[in-house]
Amino acid sequence: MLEGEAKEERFKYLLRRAVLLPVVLLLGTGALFTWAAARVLDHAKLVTLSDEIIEHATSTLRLAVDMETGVRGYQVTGSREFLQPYEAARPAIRDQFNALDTLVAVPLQREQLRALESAHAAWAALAERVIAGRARGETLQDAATNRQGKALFDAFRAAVARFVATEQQLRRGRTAQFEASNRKTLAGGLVCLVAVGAVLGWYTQRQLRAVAAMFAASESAAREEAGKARAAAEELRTARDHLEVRVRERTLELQQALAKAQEVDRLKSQFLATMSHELRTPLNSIIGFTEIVLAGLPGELNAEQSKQLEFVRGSAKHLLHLINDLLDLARIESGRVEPAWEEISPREVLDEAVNTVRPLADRKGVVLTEEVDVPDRLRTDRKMFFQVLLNLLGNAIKFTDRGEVRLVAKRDGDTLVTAVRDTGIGIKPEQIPQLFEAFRQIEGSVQRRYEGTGLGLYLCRRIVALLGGTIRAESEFGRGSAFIFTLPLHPP
Amino acid sequence: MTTSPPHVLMIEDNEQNAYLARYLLERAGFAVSVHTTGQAGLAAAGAECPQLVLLDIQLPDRDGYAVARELSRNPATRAIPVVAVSSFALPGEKARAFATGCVGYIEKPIQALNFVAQVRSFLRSAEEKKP
Repeated sequence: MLEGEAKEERFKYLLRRAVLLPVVLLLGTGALFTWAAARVLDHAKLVTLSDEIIEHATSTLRLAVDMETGVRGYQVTGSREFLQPYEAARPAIRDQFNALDTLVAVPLQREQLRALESAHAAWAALAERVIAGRARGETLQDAATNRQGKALFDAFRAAVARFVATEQQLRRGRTAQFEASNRKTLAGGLVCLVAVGAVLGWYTQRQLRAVAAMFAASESAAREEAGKARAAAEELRTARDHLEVRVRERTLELQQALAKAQEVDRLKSQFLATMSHELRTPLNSIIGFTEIVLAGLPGELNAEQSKQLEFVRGSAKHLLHLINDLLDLARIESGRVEPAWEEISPREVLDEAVNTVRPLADRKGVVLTEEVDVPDRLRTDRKMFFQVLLNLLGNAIKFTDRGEVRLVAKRDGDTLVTAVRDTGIGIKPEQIPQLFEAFRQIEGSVQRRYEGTGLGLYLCRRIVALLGGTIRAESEFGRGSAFIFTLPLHPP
Repeated sequence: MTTSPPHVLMIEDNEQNAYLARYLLERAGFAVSVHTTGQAGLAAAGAECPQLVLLDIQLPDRDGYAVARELSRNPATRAIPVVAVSSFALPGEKARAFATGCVGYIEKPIQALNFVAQVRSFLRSAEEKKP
């Protein structure tokens, strides 16, 4: 089975072969025919030649007769007038002999022509003698001369006759040859034609069959290929249909999963909102009424009543704090929180935070200072920034019994660095890594005094991360701690 | 000359919350009426023409924000300042309060000793805005 180029080559070869032989045969036959026709023509020419020769020969006789008549006339009359035919004929007969000489090729005929010429020459010689004699005035005719003259003329006539007869025989032969060659040519031509036709027919058929076979082969190959292609296309169609079905199924699955996930998300949101509300509602009463009573609005309290209610209020506040932290945590964990980016004045927020915790510091006798050298504007979430500050400041004050808490904020390249430094109890180095984890509180009975949810620093870490910053702690146990966080000045 | 005390209409379904707020406000000289459903509150607001409406967002029968929108649309109540009261747990809730026509909000749990001052400041702002 041939492919592409090879097939083309073979086809061209077959084509050449198919065309070549007929062309060769045609040329050959043509040549043959031409040769045969030439031969026939030659034979025809020979026949014509014989005719010409005979005519010339007959002419010589006629001219010879004219000459004889002329001589005889002159012989009788002595008038030169009568010699005119003789005079005219003499060069004419010479012409005829010349013509014959040119035309006659057959050796026998050449001999006979020479015989003819010499016969006439002999008679002509006598005729000349006679004419010369008469011209001298000899009127008397010698019987012997006459007889000689007649004999010579008869000899010439006979020679001519023989010549002509031979020529006629030749002519007959030549005619036969001509006809034969004609017939042969015709027959041969017919045979040739038939043969060539047959050969060509058979040959061409073979070539065509070869080509047809080639095409059939390629056609069957093509059909096979087409069949295969159809089968492949069918397979592809089926596969595609299956795929479509699967895609549809998968899409449906995904849609359902998405719907479910969205539903779960919605339920979570709803849960958060509900929990938030539900948890805070009783606190409204607890905190509210406690405050009212502690303020003495419905009536004076005694010292013990005050003291105990203070405990209640403290616990309620702590509970609220816990709830807020938990809800913040839940919101952050669920990825529901996005910073509300805005341009703020960092100085303003820092001042506000310090002012908010100042009562706490004052109550404990802790000095609270601010060292602020910040740009005028910062792009961040104000509430979150404030929350972190409050948390760190609150912690610092909580864990410091004496000394100071310092808030230091300044610009460092492309970030705002804020540090809350205290001279509190500090943190042991091995506990520092756990500081920012959720629900970790520093172990130890001493520290139990300090309330907390264990969430504050974890929330700070998450919030600072949301704002694009970092947070870390440094501490020296017994000497104090520093909590430092950064915020990018130009968040993405 | 006695001027009638300023009237605060409260739409609040929680009994204790209502008691707390009413106690504080009445001590401060306000007249307080409480309605426990959104629907009742809307009708009462139109009828009573209070100086201020304290609207709890978590109501049993209707979404608080819808009630706020109604109050701001209804020509009878359009002029009355509405203050939303809620725990505002979810982000965007405060913004929604303003979007539905509230002049401000008070977060729960309320600061009992600050509550009246907050209400007074809302009233003052509303007075100043009057033509």
